[in-house]
Amino acid sequence: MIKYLIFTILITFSLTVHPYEKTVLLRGGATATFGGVKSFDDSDNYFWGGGINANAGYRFSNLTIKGYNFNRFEINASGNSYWGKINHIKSELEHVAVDGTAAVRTFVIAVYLKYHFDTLYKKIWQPYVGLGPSWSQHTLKMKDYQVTKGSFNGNNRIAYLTEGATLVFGIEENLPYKEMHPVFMEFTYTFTAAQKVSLLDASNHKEIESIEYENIDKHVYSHIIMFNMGMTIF
Amino acid sequence: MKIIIVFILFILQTSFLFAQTKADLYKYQQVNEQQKSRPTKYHFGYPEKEHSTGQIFKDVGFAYALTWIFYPLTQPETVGQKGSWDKYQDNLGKIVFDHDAPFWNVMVHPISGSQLYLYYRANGYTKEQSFLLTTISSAMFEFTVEVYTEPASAPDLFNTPVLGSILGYGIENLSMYLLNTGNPLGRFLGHVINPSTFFWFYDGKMIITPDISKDGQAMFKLYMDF
Repeated sequence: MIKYLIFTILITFSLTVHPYEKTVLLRGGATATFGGVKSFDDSDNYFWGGGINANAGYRFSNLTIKGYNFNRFEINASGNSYWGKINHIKSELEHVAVDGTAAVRTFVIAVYLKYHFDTLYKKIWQPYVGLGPSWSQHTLKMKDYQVTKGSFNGNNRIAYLTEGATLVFGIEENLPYKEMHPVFMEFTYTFTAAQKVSLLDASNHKEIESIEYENIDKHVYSHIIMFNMGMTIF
Repeated sequence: MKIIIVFILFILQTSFLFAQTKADLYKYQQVNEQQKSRPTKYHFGYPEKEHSTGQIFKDVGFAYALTWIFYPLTQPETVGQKGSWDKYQDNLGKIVFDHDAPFWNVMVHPISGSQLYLYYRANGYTKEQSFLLTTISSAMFEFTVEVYTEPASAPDLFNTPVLGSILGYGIENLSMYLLNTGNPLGRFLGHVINPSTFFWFYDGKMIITPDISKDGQAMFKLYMDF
């Protein structure tokens, strides 16, 4: 609580002290996703989907330390929400096991450090690369499923909480003003391992309850490739 | 058939007899002939100004106080049945991925974030400052208000300020366009989607008055009261 208060006070003071108008960036756009999940059985299950992405970045435009200017670096917090379909997945908890096709809803948060390279092609396009940790939650709504243990119905959902890392590479327009809404296109590769699987009761859509959950000690992981395209909003 | 012909002839005759010129027809209305638009009494915009640290704390504090009022008002069942001070202590400092339906994460939280963003914009902050202050306000709500019922949610911490500011930027542009049309319905909708323009802290409403300069040039003067 105290750490949080100190953080808040620092941010508030920084608003009056540091020149930040050109360093804080907000971007948004669309995302197309393809990935694979290694679940509780040996087969690899593939999914694809689409959704939205948004990211907030802080570019170190005015930071110079011992003669080195850090304006090529940017710290970014990115969020992707997408909806898709997975052809076959098996999920297993202590009292429930179910397999079948599923509609998947995923939210991925990644925090990464980006490095911008020199511009290409008439100094318009600037490539960049980024790396950092990520966390995601995949919520599965089973369709055409088979219950092999316990009880499971259409109001139940399975949720996986995963954590891992994200690698980003893309290009962005190098325009003199961000008010010109520079466009970006990027590929991100996210590799995450499941930490927790939960069985949810979604019979009341306003209040989704967790019935049972289990910390994963088996190797359940996912590879996600996302193509994001969007622009700087401000 | 005869009745129809007589009726048509009657309409034509009365049209010729009581024909009005365009000047007569619109003589009680003012029209901007060049732009073919309504002349407007007010111009709506977002003037940006410097804020002292005390003013920033005051504005953030006001928004924070409102969250304590709006949360139990908008979710009385959740607060009444699921909230407690014991839970408040247990949830303090925790961050989880909640299991809320997309309706909450992708609609309600961005809408709340957009209104917070527009509140700060109405107070004269720049877009970047408004985004940062929305982040702070959202985090304060998640970590110190909503913990009465559930731990702070990571998707909400991200979606409220980021998606909310993007949505707020869109609402800001749309509401300014609607408010500046001079159209009564446009002004009504412009205020409805951007309620912060109703309140005393919004100082972007400028009165447009015609004036003549010293050397005889006609001009418009924008008068802003703050």
